[in-house]
Amino acid sequence: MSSTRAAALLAALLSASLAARAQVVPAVGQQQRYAPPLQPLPYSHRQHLALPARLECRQCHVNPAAGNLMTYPATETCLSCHKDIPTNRPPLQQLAAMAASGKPIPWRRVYQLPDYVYWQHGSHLKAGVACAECHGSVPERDVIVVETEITSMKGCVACHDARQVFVDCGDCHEPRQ
Amino acid sequence: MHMKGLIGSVAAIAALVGLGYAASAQSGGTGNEAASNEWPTYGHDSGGMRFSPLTQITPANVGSLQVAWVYHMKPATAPAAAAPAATAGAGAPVGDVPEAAAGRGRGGRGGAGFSASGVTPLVVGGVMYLSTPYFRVVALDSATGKDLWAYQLPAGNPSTRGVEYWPGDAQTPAQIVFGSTNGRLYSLDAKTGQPNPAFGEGGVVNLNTPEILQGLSGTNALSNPPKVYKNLVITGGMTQENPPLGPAGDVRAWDMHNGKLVWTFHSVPRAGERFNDTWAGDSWKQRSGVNVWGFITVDAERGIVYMPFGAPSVDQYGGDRQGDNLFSSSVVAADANTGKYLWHFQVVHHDIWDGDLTGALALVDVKQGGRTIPAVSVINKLGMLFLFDRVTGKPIYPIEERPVPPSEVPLERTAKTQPFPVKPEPLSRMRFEAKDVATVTPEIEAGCKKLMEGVQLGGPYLPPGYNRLRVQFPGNHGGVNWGGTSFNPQLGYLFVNTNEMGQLSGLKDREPGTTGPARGSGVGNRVHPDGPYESVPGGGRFSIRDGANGPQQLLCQEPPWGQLTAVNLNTGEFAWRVPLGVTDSLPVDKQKTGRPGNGGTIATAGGLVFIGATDDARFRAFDAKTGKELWVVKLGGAAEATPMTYEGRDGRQYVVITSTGGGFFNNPVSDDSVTAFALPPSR
Repeated sequence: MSSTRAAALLAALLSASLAARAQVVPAVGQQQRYAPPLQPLPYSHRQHLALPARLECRQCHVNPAAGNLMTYPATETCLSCHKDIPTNRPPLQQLAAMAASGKPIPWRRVYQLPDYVYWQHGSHLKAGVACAECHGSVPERDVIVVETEITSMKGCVACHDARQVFVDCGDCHEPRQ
Repeated sequence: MHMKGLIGSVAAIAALVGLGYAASAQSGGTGNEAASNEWPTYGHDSGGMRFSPLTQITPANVGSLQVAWVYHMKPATAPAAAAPAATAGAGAPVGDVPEAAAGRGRGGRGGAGFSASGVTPLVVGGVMYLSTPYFRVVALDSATGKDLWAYQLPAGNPSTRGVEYWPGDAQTPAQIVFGSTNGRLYSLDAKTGQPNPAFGEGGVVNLNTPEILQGLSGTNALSNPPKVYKNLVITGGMTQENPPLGPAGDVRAWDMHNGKLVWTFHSVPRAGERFNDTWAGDSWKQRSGVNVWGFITVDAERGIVYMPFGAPSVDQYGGDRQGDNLFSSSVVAADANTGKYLWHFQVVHHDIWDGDLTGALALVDVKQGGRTIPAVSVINKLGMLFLFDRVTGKPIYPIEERPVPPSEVPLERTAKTQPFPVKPEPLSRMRFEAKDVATVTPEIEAGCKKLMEGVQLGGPYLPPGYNRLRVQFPGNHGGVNWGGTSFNPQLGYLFVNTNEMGQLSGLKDREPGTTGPARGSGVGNRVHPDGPYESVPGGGRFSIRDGANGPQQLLCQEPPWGQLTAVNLNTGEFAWRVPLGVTDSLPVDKQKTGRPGNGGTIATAGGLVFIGATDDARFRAFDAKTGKELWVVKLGGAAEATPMTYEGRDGRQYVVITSTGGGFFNNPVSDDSVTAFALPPSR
């Protein structure tokens, strides 16, 4: 088995495993399906996660010390692989141009919470919540869209109920509300 | 059925129950609980008066109250409630929006490992029953606070505000019945804590039935105790604020013997049902909200159930549900045996102010002109008190339909009028003008004036602004929230604690090209996710905060910021009104501002009113006749719960309050105590 196929198989197994755990958070119904936001660069999670490098979510989406949000990858992270790849394709040319500008790539967030909601990625990762439980089978996706109801109250509560982790109104809702 | 952590002290509890309390034999929806020296149901009696006949503690001796015992709800083996702020990860945020300001996140609330509770225990036959936020329901010796049994739920958390007691019959022994956050209804043997195997499946009924879910995902959870009537247990439900389509808010009755569904009352009339035409087109279909997330009241003698319904989802925009939207924000009386409609009154037409009815509707007697009228008092989050003959639904004091402002939002169609009782006057502020800005300190005045810039002022019933914010009084929280009222039938006084908090909110057209659900930042997710509008930035409570001086919000109108009022129901006038609570961060001479909170009052024949509720973490007693504050004690956490009182088997009168902190007022979750106060033992 080639390393590429092995990686793909691993990704598929991982995806299947995580998908099974993801059932606690309801998948979005047809009525809640939304178009993906227009990103500044075309990027396929499926392609990248099938690479032999076996990328993991946290290699690109770091969780800064405060722990509230995951982040988008630094342009340097992209270049760590792409700097030696010929930039004859338009997306890579765009990437090179953005890197040269010195400005962050203006990725658009897919999963968004209202500003009155308390949220910490860090505490959830620490509790062992897998990325796929909230974000679905990302390794199979070319384009990321909202595919679970994790940003809704019922999505949060469903997971907390199943895990018996207490949640109080004020735990999620900004006191100004 | 999972059974974890059942603590067996069956012999002890059997002995307690066997003591033969006359009061307990009368409890459980029979209509005789009003005479009980214990606390057999959430509102003390099925009519929700929250009035105890006990007289041991009086205005003369209440100052001598001392702690009798403390029960800590958190078991020694409980898992941490939530992790504090994470420290994992490395590097600074890059290519992203900045991290949120300090103070957001669970760590900002203390991260002490405690969970918040607003529970009011029951006491029946010398046994105290309560739900805890540690996934357990427990039974205690009411004289000592010692564990008798504990039942650990297999999933979800029991209703945070308490449980209900059913006295049993020849077929089924006495039961503790309660709901859970994941939409289950449990029935446990009151003596043993064992699930009733004949009830549903192994003691559990799944409330998330296909009819309730309406083909969509969601949960019909219970945050409050259900209500027992005869052999029925009547449930409301906590549906969802958003999205607008989801679980129905129907009220249902289940047989306590077997958990079978007996009747259903459709909170949103279906096609062909009366009042369906108050929903334009098909806007009634799959509608969520319009639920009884508060407390159900029963006139056990007459067999009438009173259901306080909340607003429809979403509750600050109704362009997709034109019409009055019955039975939203309405009181509905129905036959408690069948669920058949009797009468209703809608307190808010086409509600876009989140004016839920949520506090228990108290069944009271009003004396006028030498006759006694069996009445129901109805109060909603907007703080208006309506009184009706509880049999006919006829108003006791006139109610006027008065013109209210139209909405600026192009697709919104507000009602032209709203009902106002001529008496009593509104319990909460309903209007704000520039002259009303808080001048408590120069800093508060300056901060609030800055917050007010460009904000639409006015009221009452000022709709959310369009392309600007407006201030609404009372705000989304109320007014009067689930704390509701208590009633002293000897005085004819209804006691109401009110929050005085405004809410800033407004709608604007969605930005072109945006994807995903419309966001309701600052207005509590109260925009239609697929609608044409999103919120105007900057919404939220009409308050400022000075984090350096403590967690309490500083409200932007002149105090009072929270009040306790006694309304003489026989005259419709206020008997007395006092500020309730202190702002600790202010100079001493300015602290008595009153404070907002959750939870409510109880009244006693001893002439007292007890209340925690405020975010200043105090527990207080007032003279029921005069409103004079007679006793106050500082607690380990804010007591966002309603107290209760009972006579123990040792003959002492106990007053109990739960104080964990937490809730909606930035209080840290700092405690797990249920504290019983009593007078010193007689020598």
